[in-house]
Amino acid sequence: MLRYVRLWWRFAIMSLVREAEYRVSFAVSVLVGIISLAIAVLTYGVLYGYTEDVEGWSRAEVLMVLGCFRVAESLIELLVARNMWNIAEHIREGDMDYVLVRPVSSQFLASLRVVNPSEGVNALVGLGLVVYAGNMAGVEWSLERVAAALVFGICGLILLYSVWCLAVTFGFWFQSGPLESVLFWLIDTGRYPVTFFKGWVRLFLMFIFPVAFASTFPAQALRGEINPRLLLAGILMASLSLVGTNRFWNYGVRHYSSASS
Amino acid sequence: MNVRFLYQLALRTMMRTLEYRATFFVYMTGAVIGPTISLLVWLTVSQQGLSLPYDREQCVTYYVLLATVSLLTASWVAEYGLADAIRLGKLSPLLLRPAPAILHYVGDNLGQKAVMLPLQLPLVALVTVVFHEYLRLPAEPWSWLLFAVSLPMAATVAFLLDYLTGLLAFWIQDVKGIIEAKNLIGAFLAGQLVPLALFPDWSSGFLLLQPFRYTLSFPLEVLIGGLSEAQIALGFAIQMGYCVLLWAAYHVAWRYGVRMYSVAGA
Repeated sequence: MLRYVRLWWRFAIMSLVREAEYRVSFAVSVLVGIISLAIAVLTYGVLYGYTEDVEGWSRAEVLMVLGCFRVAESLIELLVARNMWNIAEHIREGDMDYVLVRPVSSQFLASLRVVNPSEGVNALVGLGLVVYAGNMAGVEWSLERVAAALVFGICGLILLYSVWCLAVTFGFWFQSGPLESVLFWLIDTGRYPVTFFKGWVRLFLMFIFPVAFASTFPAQALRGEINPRLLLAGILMASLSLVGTNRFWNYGVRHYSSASS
Repeated sequence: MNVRFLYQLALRTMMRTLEYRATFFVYMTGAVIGPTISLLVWLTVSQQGLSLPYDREQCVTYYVLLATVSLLTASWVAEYGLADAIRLGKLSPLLLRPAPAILHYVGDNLGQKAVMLPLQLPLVALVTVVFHEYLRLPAEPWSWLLFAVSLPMAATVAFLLDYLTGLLAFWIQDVKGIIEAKNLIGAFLAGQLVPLALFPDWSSGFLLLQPFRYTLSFPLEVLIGGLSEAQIALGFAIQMGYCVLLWAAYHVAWRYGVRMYSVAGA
C-alpha cells in the first residue's frame, strides 16, 4: 500500500514538472475554470431571482452544493480524467502492453498515472465557495459535520471513479468506449441538489450514477442533516464498487488483444 | 461557381463525418442531455407556483427545441480546425485554392450538420414523447416563417463570431483558452443554459444588444412567443446589423491577418 502511495507521489511530481513547461496554459486553464464556475453561480442567480427557496434549498445552500460539486469535479479531473481518456486510446493503439508488463496493478497504473495540477487551483476555488456560501447560510462548522461531509465526498469520488472505470473497461471488448463521454455530460447534474429531480431520475443520481454522494450529500451534512444510514450506504457502495471494478478490470484485461501478440 | 464548390466541400465533409457516426451519435446524446437536465430543474421551479415570464409550456417547448436549434446554428470551426490550421501552417493548401478559405470551413460546418441532424432527431423525439403534454408549438405559419428566416441568420452570426475568434490565431500563438472562454460566455448569453426571457429585468437592455442573443435565443424567442411585433422587428434589425458588421470585420481581419501568416519550409 505504502509502495503505491510513494509511486503515486512520483507520478504527481513528474506531472508537475511537465506542467511547469506550459505555464501559460496552466493559467489559462485556471481562468477558464473560474469563468465556468462564475457562469454556474450566475445561472443560480437567475433561478433565485424568482424565489428564496427551491425544494428546501436557499440561495446560499445551493451555492454550497455547487462548491462541493466543483471540488469533486476538479479532483476527478486532477486525479483520473486524463488517464481515463487515455485508456481507450491505449487499448485501441496497443499501448496497453506497456502498462500490463509493469510489476504493479495495471488498474492503478492505467487510471492514476497522469495528474493534472491546474485542476488543483479549481478545487481550491470550489472549497472557497463552500466556505463562503456556508458562512452565508449560517453553517456551524462542527467537527462532526465536516467529518461526515468528508466521508460523503470521498465515497462520492470513489463511486464516480468506479463508474468511469467500469465504462472504460468495456473498451477491452468494444473499440472506443462511447459510454464514457455520456458520463462526462451526466456529471453536470451534480451541480444541482439531487432533490431538484423527481422519481427515477433522483434514484438514478443517487444509486446508479451516484453523483449525489459527491455534491448534495456533503452539503447536506454541512447543513447538519447527517443520515447515518445514508452514510453507511455510501461507505458500503464505495467499498463494493472498488472491489467490483477491480474484478471487472482484471477480467477485461484478459480480453485485451495487444498490438504485438 | 462558389456554390457548386461549396456543395462539393460539404459533400466531402459529410462522407468523412459518416465514418464517425457512432462518435457523433454520442455527441448528440450529450447535446440532448444538457437541455433536458435544465428542463427538469425549471420544471421543479415552475411547480412551486411562481410567476415566471415563461409558463410551463413555454419552458418545456424552449428546452425541447434547444438542442436542435443550437445544433443548426452552432459553429465549432475555430476550435476544431481553423486555429490549428493557422498555427501549424495547414492553411497553406486552402490559400492556393481558387475559392476563399472561409468557404472550406462553411462547407465543413454544413456537411457535419447534415450528418448530425438525423442522428439527433430520434433522441429529440424521445424527449418529446416524455414531455409531449406540455409541448406547445405555434400553430400560425407566420411564426414559423419568421423562425425560418432568423435561423440561417443566427447561424451566420454564430459562424462569423466563431471564425473571427479563430482568426485571432494570426496574432496570438495559443488561442485555445480564448475560444473556450468565448464558448462558455457565449453559451450563457445565447440562452443555452437559461432562456434569456428569464433573466432579471435590469439586464434586458444589455441582453438585447449583445451579439450572442442573435446566435440562438432570437429564433427560439420568435417561435416560443412573448415578443411584441415591435420587438421582433427590432430583433431582426439588430440581427441583420450583426450579420453585416461581422462580415465586414471578417474581411478586415482576414486581410490584415493573412499578412501575418508565415509557414516554415513551405
